[in-house]
Amino acid sequence: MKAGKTNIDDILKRGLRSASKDPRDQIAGTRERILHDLLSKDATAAERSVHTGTSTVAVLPWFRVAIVGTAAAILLVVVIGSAWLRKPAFAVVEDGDRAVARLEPGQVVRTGETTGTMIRLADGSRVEVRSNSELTLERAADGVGIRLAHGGVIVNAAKQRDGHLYVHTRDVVVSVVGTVFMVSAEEQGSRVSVIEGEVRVQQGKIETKLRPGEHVSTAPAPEPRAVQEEIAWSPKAGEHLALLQQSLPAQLPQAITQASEASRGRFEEASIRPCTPQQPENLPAGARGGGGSGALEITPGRLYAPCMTVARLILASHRRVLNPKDPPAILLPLLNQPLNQPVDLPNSPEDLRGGPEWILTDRYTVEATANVSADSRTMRTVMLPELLERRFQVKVHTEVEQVSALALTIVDGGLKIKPHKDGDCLNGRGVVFPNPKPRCSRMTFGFVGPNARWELGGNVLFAFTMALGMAFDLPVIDRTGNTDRFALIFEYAPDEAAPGTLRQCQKSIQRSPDQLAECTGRPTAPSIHTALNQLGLKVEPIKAPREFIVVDHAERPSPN
Amino acid sequence: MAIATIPSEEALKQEFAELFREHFEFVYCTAYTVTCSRQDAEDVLQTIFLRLLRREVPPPLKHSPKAYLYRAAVNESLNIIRSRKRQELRDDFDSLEASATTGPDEELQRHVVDAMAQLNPLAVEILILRYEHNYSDAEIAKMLGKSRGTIAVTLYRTRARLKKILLGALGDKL
Repeated sequence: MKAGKTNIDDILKRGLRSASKDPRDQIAGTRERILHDLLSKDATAAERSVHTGTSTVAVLPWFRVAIVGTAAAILLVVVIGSAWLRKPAFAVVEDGDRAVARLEPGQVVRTGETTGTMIRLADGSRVEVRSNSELTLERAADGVGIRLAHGGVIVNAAKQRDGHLYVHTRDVVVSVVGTVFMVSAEEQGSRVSVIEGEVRVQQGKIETKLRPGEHVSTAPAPEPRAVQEEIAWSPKAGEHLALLQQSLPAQLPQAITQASEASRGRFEEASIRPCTPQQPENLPAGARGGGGSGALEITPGRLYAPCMTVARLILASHRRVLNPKDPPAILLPLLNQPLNQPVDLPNSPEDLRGGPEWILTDRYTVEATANVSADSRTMRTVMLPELLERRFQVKVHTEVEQVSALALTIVDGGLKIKPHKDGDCLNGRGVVFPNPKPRCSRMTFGFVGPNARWELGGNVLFAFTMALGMAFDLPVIDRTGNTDRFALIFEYAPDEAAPGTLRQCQKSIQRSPDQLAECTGRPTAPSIHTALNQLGLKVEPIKAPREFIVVDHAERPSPN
Repeated sequence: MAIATIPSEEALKQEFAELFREHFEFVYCTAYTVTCSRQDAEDVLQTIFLRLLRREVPPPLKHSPKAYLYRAAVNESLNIIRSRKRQELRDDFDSLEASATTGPDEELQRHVVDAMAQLNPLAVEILILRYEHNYSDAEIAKMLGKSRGTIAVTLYRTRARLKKILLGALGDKL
């Protein structure tokens, strides 16, 4: 095979060794042998209970998900002993002022449904654990770590001499050197609230500093809860509130400002810099902000738009949901989205009208930061339009116009294809194309020799209209009224009757044929209209509504 | 204060064995595909499951043991092939699998392993899920907690990079 024609899929299939085809008994034999080795290597490691004197602390291996305990009780339970207290403990469980159980790094602590507990660390820090919580203590490189699997803790961190105290949840790391704060970890995300001092919250690459009265949430739709509410479960809530009141006055104005910026849907800070003509418009794949379809980079708490025109920024900030009247400028993966479920649909440049000429030519780099709790959709569809309005005086409205489209209908003789049933498509996954039967729940497009080919693995006709839209280069609207799913293979000639397919065919010849087979030679399949008729379908020209974004006003940006 | 119920050692072993049996094949196939060696794949299995037994792992992984085990298997396998490369134990590579597949693809397989050693772990994770486990982009995205776009782009770039590396190493032999 020539280098230029090298198909990496084939190479990888040959080049990756696979054990999945090994005989089942061989795999089972290997499995049991290794399991036996493992259990004999560490016969007692599965449970590391500490038995000292008369004290017992239950230690749970991580894989034990359900521990049945007395429902209303904390899991750690202990009868008071003294022998183990002679040696300094990593942490202890306290009952009042008494240490009642010793905790070692790695031990899992679970509290009961109604009762919390208090843990004192060796450095004097105290951790109040809410009911229904699970955490693990661990040594960190420069201090102590608490891994909060779920539930909530209020940490009164002692002043750390030369290290930090960390609280890890699934999505954030909180680090402190001495303060009082609350962390809760739920399925939807984590919340951190500060009562005294300052904490740093790390979410991915974003670090946020919080001061008394401030809180962050990583949940998609964070509930606006005050710190007072967050700590209400604590028996020491009164003490914490008093501490919060003492800490608040000096910090309150800033806290209020930050909270209000987020609630008003505004970025906290934004920088807009004009780009020179020499700065590349389309950054190469892999470059910062490049390589993607929109080139708008949104990470938690940050939006970055490298050298983009205002027109592109407006388009990026306006997203719609998929509906049957949308134009065919749509990505193939969207075709398998379930119906009636909103999905983001990118706008195309043709969707924008009006405005001064410079919004299509002048380019700006926009960098804006938001509270870490702002999700990407809010930043893109709420904060970015607000920024454009504030700094570029952008005013837009939408208009709906009747445009040329095609309607997919059933021919007089009726539909000639049968609804999908078991066995009509191939189960399992694969990247092979073409297939003798379509892959279930997939819709795949490619060229087989000189012909274009769609494989529908149990898709509704609505999805098929999306595909037809790409072929005809026009919106295609499903007017069949049929909601059945079909598994079918649709082959047609990539000729002038299907201009979109013809263009793809020409492109595929130009680029590396990694994904598409060559599209050359004289087509052997019928034209797209004949192929549709063979299915009992036809298309006819109609007018259909289409939404446009009209720019009423825009000005060059105000200085940063 | 109430009394806790502590699971018996036998019960814990039983649970561990169930977990091991449930995920063994997935982890083993992953490790074998990356390391290209049954012995190394077994070592990977031993390492990551022994870690579980000794609880040298963070508890959040219990939310998705399969994803954790998969990631651990890829990382551990990459450690092995990278250290193998560093120590230039190429002879071992051949001898370890002497009884296994032999043929024209063997040289290619060796180069694919070398090429994978140059990739970042995420790229290898995606690659193995696609080509060994035949996952779709959506399934990979769900398992790795990434967006479909990230998966598609990473896969595209990984394929391009592998192609470049392999063409550079093998040229017309491909």
